[in-house]
Amino acid sequence: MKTCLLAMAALTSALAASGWDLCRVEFPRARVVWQPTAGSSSSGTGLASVTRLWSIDATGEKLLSQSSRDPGRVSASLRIRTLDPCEGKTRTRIDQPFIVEVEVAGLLFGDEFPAPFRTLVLERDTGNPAENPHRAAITGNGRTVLRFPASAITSSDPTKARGGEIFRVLSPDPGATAPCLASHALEVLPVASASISGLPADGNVSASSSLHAKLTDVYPGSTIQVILFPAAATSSSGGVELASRKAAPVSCESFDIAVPHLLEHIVTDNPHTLAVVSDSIYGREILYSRQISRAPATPVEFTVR
Amino acid sequence: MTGAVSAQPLLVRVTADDIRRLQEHDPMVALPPAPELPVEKPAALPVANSIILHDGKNWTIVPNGALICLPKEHETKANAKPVGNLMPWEEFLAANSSWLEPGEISFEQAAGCEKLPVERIRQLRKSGKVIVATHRGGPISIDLGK
Repeated sequence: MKTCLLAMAALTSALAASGWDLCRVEFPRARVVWQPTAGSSSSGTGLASVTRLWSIDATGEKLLSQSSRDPGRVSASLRIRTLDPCEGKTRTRIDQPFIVEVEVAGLLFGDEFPAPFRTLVLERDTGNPAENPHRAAITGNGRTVLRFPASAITSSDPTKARGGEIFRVLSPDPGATAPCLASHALEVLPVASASISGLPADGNVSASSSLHAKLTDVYPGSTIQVILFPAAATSSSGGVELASRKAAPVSCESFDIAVPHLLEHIVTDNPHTLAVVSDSIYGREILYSRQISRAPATPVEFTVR
Repeated sequence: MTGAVSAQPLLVRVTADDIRRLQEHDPMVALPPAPELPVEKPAALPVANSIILHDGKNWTIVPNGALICLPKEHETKANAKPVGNLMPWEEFLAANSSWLEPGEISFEQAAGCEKLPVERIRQLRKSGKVIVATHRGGPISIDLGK
């Protein structure tokens, strides 16, 4: 019951945080559906129940997580941990690691018990209708920790893969209250990319050059900087920030940044490097870099009399 | 806007090949193969399986079977096409307390194991408001089948 109360408290606090997330508890044997308010706890019925956290918005209804409780039967909880501390939903970037923790109790040991009482199924669903969800068995009680080096969502350009993965713990027991004992959805976002428009093909910048950094799929909450390094390559220090912009915290953004006063900072004829850098929870990453120089001055011819 | 840049290490952007290599490692392959699973019915979507209450600007949902009383003058406020913003129950209730009221019941009463507080409901009905059954403040369905 204590576990159930804690799980309920976590779900209802998520409800309060977003204002759009709906928590529903179904008690199938009692034929009752309850919609707990933020901060309320389970009724203490001790009955089998299924708790679902839904996200409802203009795009539709999405199941964020699910857990079931059935006294006397196998129980499981599932949690995904990522490097992104975003509250309300679990979010990661396609190339980033994440951890799936499965906690199981009530599985029986011994060949004398039917298989459904000795095994649970962990399912990984990438939402691709062309692929069957990947499944494996969990055959022991306690905690199973799986460290995934990256999301499995695919795309013709893997850096641009996006979507959602859902992990589920399923019971093969046909008599279970709900075959899905626990689930957790993971939102997967692409890697940002950048280019600079307005640069001459030879990289020689003149006073007439009008430059813009074009950013695509900027990770929520990250800061984009356009930096000029007074050398032929980027370095961890020594650059001058020419422009910057912070992305919104909710979703990936695409935008342009004007790059002003570039020529003022190219004080020598030596090659410089213009770079677009993303500063996010995943570190400072160079999205684009290009060697540039000051365009040679046009010779002026005059006659001395 | 110009300024000095912080001295944190700069990383190279991940490439498509880097990601393909990362995706080759799947920790689930170390687990035993999964047994056959029974076919699961997908979870019912909440909006289609709820009573919609709306005030013309905002709307909310409560579980089917949670409506204790729907006076004739407020019939149009229930189960119409949702218009405007979806609000959590508590906010919608606070904004519409002039015509909406919670009727608190126990879980046992919702499950049909105990009788509903008839006298209390009779009093609530006299108010002429829409009454939604609640348990610990949250809307709850009532099983009338027992």
